[in-house]
Amino acid sequence: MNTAPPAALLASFPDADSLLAAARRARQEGYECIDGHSPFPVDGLAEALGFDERRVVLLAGAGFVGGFSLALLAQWWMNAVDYPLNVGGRPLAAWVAFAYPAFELACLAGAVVGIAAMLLLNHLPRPGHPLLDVEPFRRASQDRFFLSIATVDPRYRPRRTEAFLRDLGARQVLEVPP
Amino acid sequence: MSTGAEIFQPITVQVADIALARRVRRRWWLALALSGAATVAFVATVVWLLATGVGIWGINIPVNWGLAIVNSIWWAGLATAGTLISALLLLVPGQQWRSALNRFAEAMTVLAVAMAGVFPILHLGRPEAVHWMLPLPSTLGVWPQFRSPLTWDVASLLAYLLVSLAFWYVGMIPDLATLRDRAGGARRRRAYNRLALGWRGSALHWARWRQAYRAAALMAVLAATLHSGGAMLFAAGPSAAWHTTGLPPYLLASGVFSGLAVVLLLTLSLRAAFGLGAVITGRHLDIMGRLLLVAGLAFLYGAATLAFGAWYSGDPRQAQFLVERAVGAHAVTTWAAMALMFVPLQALWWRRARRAPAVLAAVALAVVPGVWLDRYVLVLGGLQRDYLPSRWGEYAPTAAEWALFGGTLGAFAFLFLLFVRFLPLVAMFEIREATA
Amino acid sequence: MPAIAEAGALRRREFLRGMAASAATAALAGCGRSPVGAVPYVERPEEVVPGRPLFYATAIPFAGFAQPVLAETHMGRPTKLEGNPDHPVGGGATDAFTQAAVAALYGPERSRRPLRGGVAAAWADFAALAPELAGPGLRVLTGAVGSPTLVRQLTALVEEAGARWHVHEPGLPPPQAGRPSLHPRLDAAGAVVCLDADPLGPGPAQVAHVRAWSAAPRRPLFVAEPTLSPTGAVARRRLAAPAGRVPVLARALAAELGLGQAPPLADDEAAWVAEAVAALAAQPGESLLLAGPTQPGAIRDLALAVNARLGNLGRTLLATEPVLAMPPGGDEFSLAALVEDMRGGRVRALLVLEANPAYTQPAGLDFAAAARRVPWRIHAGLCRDETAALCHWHLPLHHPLEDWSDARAVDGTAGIIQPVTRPLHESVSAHAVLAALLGEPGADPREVVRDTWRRRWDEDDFEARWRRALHDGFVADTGAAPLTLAPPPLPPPEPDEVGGLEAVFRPDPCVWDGRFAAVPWLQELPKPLTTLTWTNVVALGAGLAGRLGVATGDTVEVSAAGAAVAAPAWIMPGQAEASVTLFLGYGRRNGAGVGRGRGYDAYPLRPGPQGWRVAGVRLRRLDGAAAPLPVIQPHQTLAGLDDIVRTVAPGAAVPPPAAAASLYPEWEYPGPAWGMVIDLDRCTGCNACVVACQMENAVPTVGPSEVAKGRALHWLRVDLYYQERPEGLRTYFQPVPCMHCEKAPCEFGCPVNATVHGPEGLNQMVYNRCIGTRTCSSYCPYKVRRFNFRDYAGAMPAAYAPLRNPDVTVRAQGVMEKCTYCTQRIAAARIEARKDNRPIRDGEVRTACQQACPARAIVFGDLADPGSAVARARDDRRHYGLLAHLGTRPRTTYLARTEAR
Repeated sequence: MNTAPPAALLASFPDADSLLAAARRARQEGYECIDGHSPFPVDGLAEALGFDERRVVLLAGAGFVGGFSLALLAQWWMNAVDYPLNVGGRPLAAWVAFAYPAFELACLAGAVVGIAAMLLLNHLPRPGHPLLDVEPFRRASQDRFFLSIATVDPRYRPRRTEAFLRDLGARQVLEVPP
Repeated sequence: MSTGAEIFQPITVQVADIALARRVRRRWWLALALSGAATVAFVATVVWLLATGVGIWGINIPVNWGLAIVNSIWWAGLATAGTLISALLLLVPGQQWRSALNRFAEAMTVLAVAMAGVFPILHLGRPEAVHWMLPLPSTLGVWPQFRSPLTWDVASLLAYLLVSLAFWYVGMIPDLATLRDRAGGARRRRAYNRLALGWRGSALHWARWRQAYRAAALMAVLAATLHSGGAMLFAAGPSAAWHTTGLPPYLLASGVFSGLAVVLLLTLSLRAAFGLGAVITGRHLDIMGRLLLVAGLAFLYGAATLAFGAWYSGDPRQAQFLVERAVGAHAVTTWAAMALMFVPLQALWWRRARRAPAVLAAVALAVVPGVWLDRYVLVLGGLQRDYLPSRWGEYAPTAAEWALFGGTLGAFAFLFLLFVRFLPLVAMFEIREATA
Repeated sequence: MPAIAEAGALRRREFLRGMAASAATAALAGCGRSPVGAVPYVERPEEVVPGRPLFYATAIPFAGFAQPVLAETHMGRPTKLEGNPDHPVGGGATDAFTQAAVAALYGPERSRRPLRGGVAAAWADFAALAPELAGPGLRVLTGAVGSPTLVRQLTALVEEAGARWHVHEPGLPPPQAGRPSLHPRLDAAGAVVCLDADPLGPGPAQVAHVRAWSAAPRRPLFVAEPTLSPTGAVARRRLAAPAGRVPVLARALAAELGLGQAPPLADDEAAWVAEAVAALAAQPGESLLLAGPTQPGAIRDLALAVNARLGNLGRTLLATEPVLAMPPGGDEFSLAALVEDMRGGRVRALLVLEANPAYTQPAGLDFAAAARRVPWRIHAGLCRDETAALCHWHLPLHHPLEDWSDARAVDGTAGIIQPVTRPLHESVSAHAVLAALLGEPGADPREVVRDTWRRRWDEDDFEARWRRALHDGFVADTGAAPLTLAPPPLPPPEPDEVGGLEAVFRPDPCVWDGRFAAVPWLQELPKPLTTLTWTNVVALGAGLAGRLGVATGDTVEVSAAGAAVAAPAWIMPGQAEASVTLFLGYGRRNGAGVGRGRGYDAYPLRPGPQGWRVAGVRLRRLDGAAAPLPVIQPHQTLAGLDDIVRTVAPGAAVPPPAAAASLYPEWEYPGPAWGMVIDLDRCTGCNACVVACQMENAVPTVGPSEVAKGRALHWLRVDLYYQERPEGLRTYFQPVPCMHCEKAPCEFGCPVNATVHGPEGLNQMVYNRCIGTRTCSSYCPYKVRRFNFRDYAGAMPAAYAPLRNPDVTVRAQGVMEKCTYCTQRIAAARIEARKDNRPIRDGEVRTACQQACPARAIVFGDLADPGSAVARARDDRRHYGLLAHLGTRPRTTYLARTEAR
């Protein structure tokens, strides 16, 4: 048996609604270091846990705009500044033509930046997370819903928190090894 | 209220076990062997081609683009349907039925774009210098020429491939986590865990993932729409047959049309092969049938608009291209394409037909080659009958060209079979979300 | 390189030093030296400046006539022939055959060394043998001979050694002994009527005729002929009449002018004759009636009588003493007489000098069997051809570019032929062969030729005159002496030909009588009126084809008088329905290089050595699938499009195009703005420009299978269009080089900047940047771009490598190429102008096509200079741009064809 204090407590719920309700209650109780785990995105769960950011969307948008501008600028520099050539009597700075690849590259940049931002902010990839060692947690990707409260949470008290979780209707409360 | 275990477990088990099953059915091996052989033949033809050059094709002046370009824009067109089903419908609220189909439709998209990208490289006179189309510094000091619609095509095909690949992969992460958690052996678990990036279904992760996923979907849709199956390469040039603003929507519509037919074929095959009747229901088939009908009618409208525009332009050469298509050297091909694309399609006005897999398969099997023939006529007709009658020429594809086309079909099937075997072919989490 | 290379550890500097020394030695030993005694055309001939070509004035004989040329040599190797601009004939233009003559110099089909019984032998052995052969039993068979030296030697053989001289020239009618040479002056003629005559067609006088014809605006030209000819193609009114019907037309025409009885005519014939007579009679003394050399002598006499009646003699039709020399005695010295003598065992030794009777003999003349009765058979020629295969001795002859000789141009002007390179093979001069027979085995051909001229010129200024002649390329004032012709008596009318199908024979427009069959550039040259390459066909009319169920490409059998040939059929526009045309020159069996075994041999049907027509022909379709023919241009109609070849009434203007609006600023072209104007009125479709372009720009041939696939590589093509109009068949030629569009669609299509615009408005191709996407060609509305689908340059026989112009890049596989406006010539002129610190003068840059064009249909120069010829041509009322409505702003533009309606 592990003697060190656990990293978190993990409560399992049978469905999304009870997880959502539990999460809201936990927030009301003042817990801060809490997280939900579900086999699909549960509407409102993140917001219930205090998630309020649009950074990924904004960064993706910035990626799009930045990609577009950069591509446009790069094409202009290559075709009109660094090696200007008379191509079919067309203008050197053919913005309309440049806009086409720029738009495509903007799409690429937007998607890549958005995804990269998501991974960075989520601290992914993290294949060695302790939660993944909890045997029952495997159901989190299939049909079980979990609420975790980290032991670093200022409101965390070993017995009281466990009791609180059971009170919320958790089927099972587990300790996450450190 | 029933518990998650009762609702979600059947779909999870059914889909995940396709990828996780220890024993594989003989049919899969047989299909893999066949498509593998075609892939080997493809690689051999490519080696032959690279060793001897495009002289082994039937291309000439004026028909200096042949089957390779037909195939390229045909594959690129197919891809657009996958993007439409997965990305566009993701952005449209209330379209949860897509969840049963989007994963393999995306896989189809990624593979089709890859196949579309093979041909433009192989068709080069000097394929060893293909990287000159990218803005890489070189001793020549020359850059790519960004006014060229071909450069646009390089940029858009590349962007399209990468965006759809990223979109497909990001959408697959949660399902890879499911595979990890259901995988038996430690090695497979580790492998799937790596692929899933250690995904643990955290609420905050989900929230950010959703934002990124939707942003990527939007990008994929935009990229696909602008690419329009490579239409700019034709529409931006001065050829009378192609030089029309109607061409990009025309190619987009026909691409979606043929792509939907391919998705339908894949749907029916996977449904039958893995008994996915509970996941891909009659309602799914019904909607797919309707979509195919709508796409077909949209394409028919587009074709009619192009024809009208050619006639109404008063340009004798545009009209002549029309006549050439209808009664000229390609008349048989043209009308075969029309018949294949639009005659069986009419069965889909009936609900019973839309729910009958055999009827759907027959319609789709007609549409796919029909659109191919339509592109054949579009590309070759435009080149064979250009401005000066003195330069009107003929073209006959050679065995090497057909072998390459067959080879990409084989390579597509080969890679798709591997996808079916090792990756989650249905978006399980989305189905859970939809049923919750 | 010396042993230094084997020294193992070799230091870089030593290696380079060694390499440099070896290279220098090799250069000294190999090239850069003028042939002994030859005099270059330029002022300071002693120096060869590497990188700068050296020109020699010389001539290429063709069917006995000199084609005056300037031979361009680079470091001692000839690469290009240009017309001699100072020569009275041609004015610097050439025909296609002459353009390709430099390729024949390098041809791999040429014999390398003398052969005796097929085994390598020494020239000295023959020289030792030769005096024994001379004597009454010696016969010499030659083609047409105009060379004064050859004539002198042959005459000596006949007169001193008692030998006999026979002449066989299959492609041309022989001049008849005692009859004058006739020289039509097309430039002076205000109206021309041709009775089965083709003055503008291929032949030794083509350049002179085309040049004269194009010297003035289009004039009424009436042609009656069985098969479409270049002359018929530019005619105002053309009548498709069987060759057997032409004499009737001639008599009708003469009768209208008051000579003889009028025969009955069909309606269309009567209409044509009436118009032709009206045109002739309207300009007495300035009109011209030509009866073709393929017509009976009586008809040619009749034409002469008509010209005399019209007062044309001495004005539009000149007569001179004969230019070609003939052995005295008429038919006695024909090929048939020779064969008869051989069969009768009266010939002890036969020397065949540059003739190929075993191939070109007519029906019923078994030259081979007769020749086997001759104890000594000697063949002297460039290749080991069909005749050489029959002979004991084969003596390779020098190519004219390696040889000393002399020759007379079509007007009689004599010129010295001087070598411009050392002989490539162990060959000898024809003069040396004859000298050996005359008992001077070691004679130097240069001295033999000098001897001829020494007899004509005063001894004291001989050297100066000799030098002058070599420098100029001709001897001034040696034109044939004019004669005053008395009007001939009216020939008695001959019975009209009975109806039925006839076959007419024509030398092939590209390989002539078969002598050029080995030259790949001529094989691949599109025949002007079919665009067919590499083979010959049987031309027949659409009506006849319809009756027999024959389509183009079907195999048909043509039989007459017991002989038959099988050949692909070709439905020929403008063909007389009662005529089929057979083209000579194909079906070569020996010594024809790439021409071997191509096409069918029409000689076995030919009725006589000069037979041009055989009646009572049967034609039937043979079973079997139609074979694809290597045709350059499969579609030869205008498809109802009227904006391609513009036509205007005389004096009318082409409506100016609407100004193309653009949102974008114009490009500035500060330097010269190169442009070209092509006059469709002048072009006769002779193809000289096409070969000139290939020679100048090292354009390889691709072979018949690649041509059939549509991969021919000609940078410049002459588009051919037929149009059936109420007034008859119209034929249009439209030379199409690169248009060098200012708004070039090809350029913006290229993804890698491999085709861009130069500062002087040239559409440039950067070969080493090209990756072969072929987008440029897809975007080119004119389809002037050519692609190296295979390694065509590398696939050419290595023997042709020295032919390549060193100023032009050899293109690799997978690369696009096209007309550059001869950018290397522009660069050379620019360098010269910069050295003198002056602008490039108008006319200083001449493109290869322009230079070769006998019709002067092509004008090239600086559009920015309002005084330049090209700028003035652009101001012509007939000026238009091809497909200008696309907004491409072509730099190459056209002058519309004038057509009286």
